[in-house]
Amino acid sequence: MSDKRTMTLNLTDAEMAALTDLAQRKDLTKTAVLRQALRLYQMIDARLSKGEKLLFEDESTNKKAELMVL
Amino acid sequence: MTKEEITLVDAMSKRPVVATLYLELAPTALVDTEAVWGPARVAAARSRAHAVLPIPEHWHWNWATKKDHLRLLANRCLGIECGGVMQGLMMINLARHAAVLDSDAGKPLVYIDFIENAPWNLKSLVDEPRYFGIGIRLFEAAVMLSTNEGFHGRVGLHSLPPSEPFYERTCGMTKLDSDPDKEDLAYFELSRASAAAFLKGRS
Repeated sequence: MSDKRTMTLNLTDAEMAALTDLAQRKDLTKTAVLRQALRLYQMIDARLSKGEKLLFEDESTNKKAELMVL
Repeated sequence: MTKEEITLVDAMSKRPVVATLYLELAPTALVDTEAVWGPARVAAARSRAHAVLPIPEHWHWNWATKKDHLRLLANRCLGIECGGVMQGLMMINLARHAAVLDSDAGKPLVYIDFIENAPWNLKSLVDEPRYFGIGIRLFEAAVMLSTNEGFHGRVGLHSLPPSEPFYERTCGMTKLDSDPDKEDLAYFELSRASAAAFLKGRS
């Protein structure tokens, strides 16, 4: 794999709690959660930049909602 | 470029040969490989068509067109080189799919988007392949990558019908439903437990 660099990340208690919860539920380390988040954010941003939309669909109600990503 | 030494089997002599597994290929490697594979693939397919023999479903693949996948962190391409030529390629995605098996549902996995042998190694294209063991080595690399990424060896893919026995019997994957979003190809998944068994069997 590519060489890795180290950085310090300052999180609030709430952010750390969310990170810990995601790590437990997804069976990942906290570092892996953050790397996944970066991959997803970049992937979504690339598709939105091409004019595509990000939608959530509730199959039970057949409702679709567009997610705005900043 | 990170690489590891591995062994393949020379099909002619049946002896092991040293090869190189590249864990993160640059986009130019895909273009260079397609420049060699493309003409060989088309020539072999034409030859089989003239002989009224079946042609593999993926004969039209073009790795050069997949180079833009590598702009994203989620995509990675691995390759095996032997004798100075790429013998197999595998494009994986780390963020687009989640496991569906009950024991791992919703957890991340390495999804194999594309995996292909060089045309001269395919029994479905040539009578006498040059090297054996490329598919299993690439699959093993996907399981190892999944482990290193913290995904505990989980791997998923949609298989073309002729490859289904390989993934189910040789790799130990579980066959799930056909996927209408993927041309009705069957979805296969390697669970955390099956990955551990697979790696134990390879050691």
